Amino acid sequence: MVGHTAAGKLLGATDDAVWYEVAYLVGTVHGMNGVADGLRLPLDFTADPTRVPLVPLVDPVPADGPVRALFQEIAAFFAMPGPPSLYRALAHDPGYAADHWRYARHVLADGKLPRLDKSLIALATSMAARSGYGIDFHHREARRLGLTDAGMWELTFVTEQFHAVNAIGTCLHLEPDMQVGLRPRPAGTP
Amino acid sequence: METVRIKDAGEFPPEMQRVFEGIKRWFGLDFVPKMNRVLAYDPAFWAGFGRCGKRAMADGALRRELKEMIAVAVSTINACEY
Repeated sequence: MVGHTAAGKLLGATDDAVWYEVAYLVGTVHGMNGVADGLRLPLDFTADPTRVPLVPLVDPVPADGPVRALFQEIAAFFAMPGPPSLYRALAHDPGYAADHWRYARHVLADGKLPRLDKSLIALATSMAARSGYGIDFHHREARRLGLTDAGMWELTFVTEQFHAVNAIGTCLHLEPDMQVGLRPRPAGTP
Repeated sequence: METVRIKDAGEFPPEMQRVFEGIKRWFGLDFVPKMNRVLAYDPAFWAGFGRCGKRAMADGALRRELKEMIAVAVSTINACEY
């Protein structure tokens, strides 16, 4: 993790704001995936009869005023006919769902990184965590935003490589040695 | 603390020294990262794994900088500090 943050910085991604975005994104997606898979929420884009939710989901049709508006906003953001299962679960507490969407929207929207890049990082995060919900959701979102077959394979290869590298590093207790790329540059240097 | 001794770059054979020079250029570093010295310990492993890694991380449909961010995301989920 330290090594590739350093490598990214050495390649030119020196703005800490980018790395804050990556951290917020990985954390937010991981949190959402954990809840969605933990509650066995239905996948949003793939039929899977084995996923029977542990909790009832808020029905978007009779949902009242603020919840309906929230559902419509979320569905529009993802170009979906209705809200994702996750928000139909979170909406049992409308205040929590609204606050959650407030930061999740910020994390997933265009920022320093464009939405497509964020969707790829979200997809890799989901693949790494083996999250059925996250893989289904972010694969569709990445494709919708322009992910090509070639890009999908490259993402797959990077994910495979780093699963392997991570396991090797952890197995041998390797200590980070690439912090050099994380050191602040002296004032006045490019 | 590492559970194995990791060879210094200078302990590897000449053909690997040439590979290491490429790795230093690849990362823009003046040393060979520990992970690369681990992966190169067994030349038969490195022969395939190193090439896969280079192909996976090269600019292509996705730019290399984004791939490093994807690597950080995967490493975060795997709780790999390195």
